[in-house]
Amino acid sequence: MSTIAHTPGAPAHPDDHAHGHPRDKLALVKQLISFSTDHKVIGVQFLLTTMFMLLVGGALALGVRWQLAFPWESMPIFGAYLASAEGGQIAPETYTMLFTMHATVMIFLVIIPVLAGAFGNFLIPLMIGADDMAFPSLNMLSYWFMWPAIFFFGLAIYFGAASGWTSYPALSALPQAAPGSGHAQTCWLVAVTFIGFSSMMGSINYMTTIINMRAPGMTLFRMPLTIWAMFITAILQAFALPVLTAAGFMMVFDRLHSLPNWLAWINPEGVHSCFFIPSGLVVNNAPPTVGGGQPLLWQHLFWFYSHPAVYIMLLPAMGMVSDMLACMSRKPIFGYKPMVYSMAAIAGLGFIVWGHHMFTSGMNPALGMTFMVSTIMIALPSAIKVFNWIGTMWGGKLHFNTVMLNCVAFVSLFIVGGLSGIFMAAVPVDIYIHDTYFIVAHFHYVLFGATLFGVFGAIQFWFPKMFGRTMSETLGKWHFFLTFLGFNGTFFPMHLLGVAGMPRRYADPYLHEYLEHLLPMNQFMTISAIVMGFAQLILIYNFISSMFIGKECDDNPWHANGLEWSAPSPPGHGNFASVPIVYRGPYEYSHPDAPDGQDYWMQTDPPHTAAPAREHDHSHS
Amino acid sequence: MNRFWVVFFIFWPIVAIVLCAIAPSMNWWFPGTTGPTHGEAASPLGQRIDDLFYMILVITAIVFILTQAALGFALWTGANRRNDESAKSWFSHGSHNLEVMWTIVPAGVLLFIALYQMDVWAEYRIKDNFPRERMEAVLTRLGIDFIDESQLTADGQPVRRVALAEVTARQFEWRIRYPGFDADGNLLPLLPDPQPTDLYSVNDLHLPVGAPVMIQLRSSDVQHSFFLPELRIKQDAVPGLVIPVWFEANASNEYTLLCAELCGWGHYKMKAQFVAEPEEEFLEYLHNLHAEQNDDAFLDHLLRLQTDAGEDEGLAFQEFLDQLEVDHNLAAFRNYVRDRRDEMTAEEFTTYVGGLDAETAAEEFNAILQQSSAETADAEESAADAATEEVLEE
Repeated sequence: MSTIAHTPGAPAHPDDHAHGHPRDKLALVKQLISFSTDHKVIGVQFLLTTMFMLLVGGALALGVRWQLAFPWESMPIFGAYLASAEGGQIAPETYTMLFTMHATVMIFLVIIPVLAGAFGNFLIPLMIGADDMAFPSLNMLSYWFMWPAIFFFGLAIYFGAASGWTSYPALSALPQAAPGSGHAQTCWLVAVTFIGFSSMMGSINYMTTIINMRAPGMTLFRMPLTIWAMFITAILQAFALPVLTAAGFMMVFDRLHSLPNWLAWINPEGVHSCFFIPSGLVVNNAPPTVGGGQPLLWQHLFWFYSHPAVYIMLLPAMGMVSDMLACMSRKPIFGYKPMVYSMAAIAGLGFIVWGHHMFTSGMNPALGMTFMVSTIMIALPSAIKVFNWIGTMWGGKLHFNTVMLNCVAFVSLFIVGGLSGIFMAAVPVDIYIHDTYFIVAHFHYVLFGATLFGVFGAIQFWFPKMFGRTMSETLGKWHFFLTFLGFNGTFFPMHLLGVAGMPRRYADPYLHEYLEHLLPMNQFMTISAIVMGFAQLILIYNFISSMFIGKECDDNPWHANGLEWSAPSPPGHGNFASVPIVYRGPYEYSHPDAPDGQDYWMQTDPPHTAAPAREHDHSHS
Repeated sequence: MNRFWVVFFIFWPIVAIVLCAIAPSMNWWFPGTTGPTHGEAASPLGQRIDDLFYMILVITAIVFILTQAALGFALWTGANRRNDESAKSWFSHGSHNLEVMWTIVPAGVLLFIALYQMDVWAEYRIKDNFPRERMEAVLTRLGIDFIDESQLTADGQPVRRVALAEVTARQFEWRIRYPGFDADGNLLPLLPDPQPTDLYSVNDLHLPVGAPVMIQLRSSDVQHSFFLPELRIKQDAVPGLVIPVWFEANASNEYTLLCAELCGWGHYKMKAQFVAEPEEEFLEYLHNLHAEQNDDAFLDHLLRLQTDAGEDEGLAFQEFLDQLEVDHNLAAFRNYVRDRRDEMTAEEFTTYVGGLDAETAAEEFNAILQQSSAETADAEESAADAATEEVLEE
């Protein structure tokens, strides 16, 4: 229930200027370079930025793949930029930079901001019937704080950050430990701090908005699963992120051997704490350290954020896919409440499983057992969700459009990612496959196979709301087809590489006899990756061209139920012409009582006056 | 077109299953699958890990097939319904009974998997569950007096020094320290701190076969990970920690040892071998190390040759050697002469040594020493530059 004292039916924005004239379909992009506080503009800003970053991260990944398929051979196209000094050949320290920054860009600049930043921003007010976010200026800042992060990550690429995205000390804590542990690592830490500010501002905003600004009638259990997912994600983010930020500052202090002149008054000797540095290390020409720190402390702090972050990178996609699947199956979501509870369970358990990243780290082995049980049990809510998605499609009249295809791919590939997780959750088995390509396969199935396919579907699904036009189905299907094949061709064989014992982050695995015969398989994977990489250009082209030449559509092209579809496309400033009133949940597709000839029943459609309105809430599910 | 997509989604899980089924015959499976070991783990613990792996594989394969089949069925019927104008979607918000069922059944299976893994993990990592008796039996057979009465544990028992080697990872190699022999030729226990009697090797770990043996794992710079793929053993080497790791190779062989935790640009080339060999051969290996590192038989030989040539020269040569010892250059000189020996036949070497007087030896050696120290300084100037060059040379 909304606590905002609007009179239902009264204009939400008396001075709304967007109504009455034909709407400018490009209104949202026209404000792209502005400090707009409109959540829709900010959402589009995030979306376009992350799509560009997807290409950057993809290019870095192709560099990695090139080296694995054709070790020490000159790389075409990118080689000239990445490794001009070596004649296009990837040096080992460049290779470490490539996988470090691939992961960093994809996680911090693509997946987290595209889910929470782009879709969270765009959808939350529209789906709950609010005119904007609770704190519009904070929202604007959360986007613009991304840019310093992008700048410093760019510097990290330039200087060659090379400690992996996990930045384990002492490699990351001692500037002398590796060529990329100097300025590059400092830039990396600064950038992570900025992106953390950005996420935190978003997360506070989402929680406040969802709690306080729901339209009349929008009870908690009438919220679309997308909103539940965004809400739970925001909570995860708000509780986990401060730990990473604190750990980042601790590492910065560890690294401060000398302060710049204007800060020397603090201590001419520099700060140089030793949170993560034990005594007695002999690292190249590094001066001896006082020591007393513990490298494992960083791992605990880092994973205390970064494991929940895995769910931050997944839950919103789960929510959006639930909404899209229900719409394209023309069926209510199967088991709405179990879906909500399982997301909450994933989030809750997500806080007590971080140790499964550290089974071989040398922490107390009894902890390994505890973390194994909690980790294996987190598969349970994930399994429940999969069953419910299949249940949602079961008996539906399915639309096989691009949205649906991407959502089915999400479910199909998430099954693989979920099941492969069980191998690594089992500690004894993890002893062997830890830090091999098995884990690389696993997290790409979850983060790409699930999340990114969900995002591809969501882009196609909500594009009409952003620009009043639909994206091309033909191009969308080609993009899906090539990406799906390229994805499986690239990542499925990685399971086998993992079983064959190929360690990750190796610039040249074939140096080791027992891995030599895996070269042809790696070449096949690289070719698949190149196909997949170039397929993304179809998406970009489809997105940009559809803004101008896409088929014009009405406000509700998918015949969906959600509140956002009762707003104009694109919604004007203030979103709704009048405060919407919510009469039912968002999943009443094919409802027997739905208005004549419709297989959907929008949340804002008033109940029939003739027949006594049956309350179709989800409480009986 | 709808049915095309249904087939598309049914098709890929089938390809995935076929790929996994043929993987062992294509050697895309555990190391050495097409070799004489058929990919079996080379250690009893590793075999139990593999058994657990296969157990999970069977369970997940069943779940994979069932869920993908259910998905395929839902898609197929859904596509048919789409092609039929009059068909309608099934209006349902879910089923309480189904939800309960598919919560309880997977929960039971998952809990079973979790609890079933505990024993192997406990045996591998929990100190109280280490196979201590069998480890100590090896030490007894090797003649090591491993019970250290001079130090007591917290509960008043004498400390038992069970480790046979200390493995120290550093960028980018494995340094190994073995216990040495006492004056009577008995093998000593490995103490936590380096002893003058200790023996050293690099990237070459030898240990007895057929019984559990323990190493102490440490890192002298950044984090590394001790990985024996054929034995399914992995343990991170963490700066500041000394971590006991035990394993048991069940066949005499040379196994791969490599690093599994990112440790810098040269991570991929921390290549070493682990040689599992019978206890006699292990002792012989240690004796050889001892001979190389301590035994001056070769220098004695050199000295005798010199003495034979004339008493004065012999004395001068002895002085030269003493000076080397003071300058800590004796080992380098040994290497220098050993290199010479490797270049020549036995006869040529004898002639060479015979013709070597103290003065020429000192001159020649000092020149080489200077050259090599200059090289070392260059090399240390920038590890990164050197690395780049090396790659380019390749």
